[in-house]
Amino acid sequence: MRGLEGRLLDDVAAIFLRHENQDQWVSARLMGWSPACANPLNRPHFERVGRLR
Amino acid sequence: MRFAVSLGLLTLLACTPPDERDPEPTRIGIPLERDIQGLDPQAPERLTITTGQVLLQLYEGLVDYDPETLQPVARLASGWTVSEDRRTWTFPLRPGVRFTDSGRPLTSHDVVASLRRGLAVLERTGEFPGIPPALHLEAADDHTVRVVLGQPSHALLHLLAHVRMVVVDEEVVAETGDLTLRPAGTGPFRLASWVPDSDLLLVRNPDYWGRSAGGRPLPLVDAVELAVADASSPLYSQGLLDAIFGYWADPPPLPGGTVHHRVPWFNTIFAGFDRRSDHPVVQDRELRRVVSLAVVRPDAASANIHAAAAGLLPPSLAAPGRLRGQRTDPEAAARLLTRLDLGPLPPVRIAWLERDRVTGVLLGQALEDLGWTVELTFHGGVGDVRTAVASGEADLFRSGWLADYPDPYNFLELFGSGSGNNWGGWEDPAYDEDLARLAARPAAPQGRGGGRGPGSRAGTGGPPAR
Repeated sequence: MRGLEGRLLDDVAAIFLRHENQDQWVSARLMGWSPACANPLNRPHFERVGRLR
Repeated sequence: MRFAVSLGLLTLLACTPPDERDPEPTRIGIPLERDIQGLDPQAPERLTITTGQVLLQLYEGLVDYDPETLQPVARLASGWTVSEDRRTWTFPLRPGVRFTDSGRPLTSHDVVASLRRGLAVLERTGEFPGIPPALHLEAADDHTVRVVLGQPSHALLHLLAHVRMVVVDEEVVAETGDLTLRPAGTGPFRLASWVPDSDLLLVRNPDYWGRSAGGRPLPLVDAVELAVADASSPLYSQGLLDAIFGYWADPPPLPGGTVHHRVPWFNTIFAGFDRRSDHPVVQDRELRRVVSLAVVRPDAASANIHAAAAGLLPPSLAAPGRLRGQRTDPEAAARLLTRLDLGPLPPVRIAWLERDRVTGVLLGQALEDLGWTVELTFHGGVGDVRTAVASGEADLFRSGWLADYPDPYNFLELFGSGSGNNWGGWEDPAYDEDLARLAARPAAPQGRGGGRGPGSRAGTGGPPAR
């Protein structure tokens, strides 16, 4: 992995403007909601979400 | 402080269900950024994230991700085994699963046909980085699917978790041609109504196999209403929507008891060089270095995801030069350019995306500050940018990638010579060799998405069913 990084950056293929792991807000009033449920890398698990009483 | 408070709430509101379902029928309202493209997961040429998220409530695949750990877990499979040489994977199907539309029991023949259908789409579109070569699918019997690989691959479980690889009712496909208007899956919900450009109503699949951590039947709600809406929608004040998404420094509150979470989004946006261009900025390695140094990435990153996101950026982007190997130093760029002493250059042509206009302007200004002439063209869609690159109209272009699965291979593969997403034609045989070695690397027990199944002990079964 280190070798790949070095080669990629040594001979520039692209200029990265935005890196991984930027953040997004989720506001919810759902009991059982978690960030992982909303992570687009993953997917929302609506079947595991309950309604706030 | 706000983040600390949010984290505290998260501990209480993990992705585990309430103790019991509400006795009364329950409904949740979720906003959609835009309408879905249809109900066939394998039909659209470019599947939007929104469409995928909705379809994953109606369909499911052999494998899914655990919402907390992001590790692959069995879904329509009851687990998996892998041979000693790591090339043969066997997936017994979960018993008792039926299609919501027809009530017909799921068989391995449906799974194999669906996976072939999905694989054909992924091979054509290049949406999945790292499809294992020489992948063979077969029904070992009516309830067992076997996958044979030409060589071991870390990516197989991620591939099987891809939204394109969900299982559809092949009899309905044979009858209707595609599923654009009629879903035929096995998911926790079935479609009750769809009003294009307005809303969808999903209602519980009463025969769904899933159980919550507390042993209750899933889904926990009876209905999900998905409405095309933004933060200004009156549906919020009417109490009809229960969540909101966005890049706010201060998220707008919802009526009632609202909690705010900050979640990671694995994405990258980059300016690529089209290696087929004969412009010196592309062909001369030192000039490429000048361009790389000249761009102030934190400014570009901040502008790209709205000005308000400046405070949300990860610490690695907070100051110029702190990303290892990604040095930002416009003064060093100018010094290097002076040392090269190249004389006047032809105009640099940049193809950019209209919705990322600000970063395009920042890139153009950085190059103009070097004394160069820039021709900056904005395009309405990603496909238009790609077409401009393919037509030889650009030296630099805007591209990006949202990770499909939690592994750096997603991003490294973008620059493989065989990648469908390598628009710029960047090519390095040594890099390709390294990529192939990485792709064949078996999944580790931890840290490369291997979970407890494939990387642990060959032939002894996958992770426990959810």
